[in-house]
Amino acid sequence: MNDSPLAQICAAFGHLLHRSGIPVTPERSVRFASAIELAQPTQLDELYWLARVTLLSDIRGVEAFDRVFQQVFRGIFDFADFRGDSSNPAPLSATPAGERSPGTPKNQGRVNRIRAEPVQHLVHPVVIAKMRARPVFWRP
Amino acid sequence: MSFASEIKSPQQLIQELAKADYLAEPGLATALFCAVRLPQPLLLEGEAGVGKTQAAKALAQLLDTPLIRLQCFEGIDASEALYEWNYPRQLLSIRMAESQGKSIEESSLFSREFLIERPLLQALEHVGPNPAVLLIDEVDRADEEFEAFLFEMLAESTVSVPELGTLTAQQKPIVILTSNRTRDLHDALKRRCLYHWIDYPSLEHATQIVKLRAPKASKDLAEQVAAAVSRIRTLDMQKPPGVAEAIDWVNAAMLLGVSTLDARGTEQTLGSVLKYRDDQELAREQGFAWIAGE
Repeated sequence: MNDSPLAQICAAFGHLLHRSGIPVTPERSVRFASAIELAQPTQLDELYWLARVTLLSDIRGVEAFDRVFQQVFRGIFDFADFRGDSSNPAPLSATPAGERSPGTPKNQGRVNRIRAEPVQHLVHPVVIAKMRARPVFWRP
Repeated sequence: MSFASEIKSPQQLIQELAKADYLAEPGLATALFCAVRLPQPLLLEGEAGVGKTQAAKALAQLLDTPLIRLQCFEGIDASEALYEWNYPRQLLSIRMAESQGKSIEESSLFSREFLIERPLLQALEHVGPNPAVLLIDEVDRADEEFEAFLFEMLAESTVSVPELGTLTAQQKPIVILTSNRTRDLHDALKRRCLYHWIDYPSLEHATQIVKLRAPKASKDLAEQVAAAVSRIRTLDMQKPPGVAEAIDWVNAAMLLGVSTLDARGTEQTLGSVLKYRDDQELAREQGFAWIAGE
C-alpha cells in the first residue's frame, strides 16, 4: 500500500479498530483497500460489508466494529459534498441494510440509500479533510 | 458466467447467484466476491443450518467449476486431506515384475500413477478456465495440528511430496472454510482469511428461499413452514432445523397431501424436519399447535 489517500484512510481505520480491541493487521488494511478498489462501492452499506469481511475475524467483535465504523464513516461518506447540493444530507445509522448483526434488535439498522456516485469520492480531498478534522480519527 | 474475473461487484454476484437459485444477502455476497477476486480464503461461521455449505456449492455452480470438498473430522491428517500412495497397486506392480523375472526400480513405484490425490491436491492441480472451489467443511472439528498444516498449504499454494518434490498450484483454488464454532480457531488461520458470520435468514428471506427451491408449493404453505421452522429454532434442539430442512418439510407435506400446516398437519409431517428422537420429543412437549402458530 502506498501513501495514497485511500491507503491513508484504510490504515487509519484499521488503526482505530485495533485500538478498540479488534486484531487488525496492516495486511488486513491492505486487503480492505484492495477490496475497495475492486468493488468500487457507491453506497455506505457496500463500504460497510467490504470493511467487515476484510477486517473483522470474529463475530464477537461486531459491536465494537460497528461503533468505530459509525464514528469514522457516518456523515463523511456523504455525496452531497460533491453534487453541489447539500439539501438532503443522508442520515446514516451504524448498521447498514441487508443483514443485521446478531444481537441487534429488529427494525434497526436501515440505512438511507445514498445516490450512486463513483468511489473516488471516498478519497476526495474534502473527505480527507473531514476525516482529519475528526478527533476520534487522528488522536494518537 | 465464464470467468471469475467477470464478476465486477458484490451486487452483480447477488444477481448471478439468484440465477443459480441461490439468494445471497449483501454481506455474504461481498464475502464471496472478495474470496473470488482478491483472492483470499474465506472463513464462514454461523449456526448449523444457515447455509454455509450451500453458499460454496452455489458459487461453484455459478462459475461452472468443480466443488472439491474436504470434510474435516477429529483426527483427520495430511494423508486423508492431501495424498496417499496407492499401496495395493504398488504391491501388485512388484508381484507382476517378479513373476516376469524383472526387477523394479523403487523410484518408479513412487511416481504419479501410484499417487492418490485427496481433495487438497485435487484442488491445487485443477486446470480450467476458473479455479476450483475448495470447501474445507467444519474445520473446527479437526485438531490444531491439522489446522497449522492447512494454514501452510493455503499460504504457499504448494504441496511437498518427498518422493516427487514440490507441486505448485496451477491456479490458486477459491477456498471456503466453514466452522460451527465448537472451538476457537487459531489466530494465524483467522488472520489469513476473510470472514463472514451467516445469520439464520429473516422470516421473509427464508420464505423466499423456500418458494424458490420448492416452486410447486403454495405461497401459504411456504410461509407457514418458514414460520414454523423459525419457531422450532427457538427451542434447545440438538440439531436445529435449517433452510434445507424447511425445504424438505414443504416437499414432505406436499407428498403427504398436507396443504395447510396446522397442528394436525404438523404432527403428520414433523418427522421430515426433526431427525433426532430427543428433538421430536421436545417439539411434542411444546405442542403441535404452538409450532403451527395457532
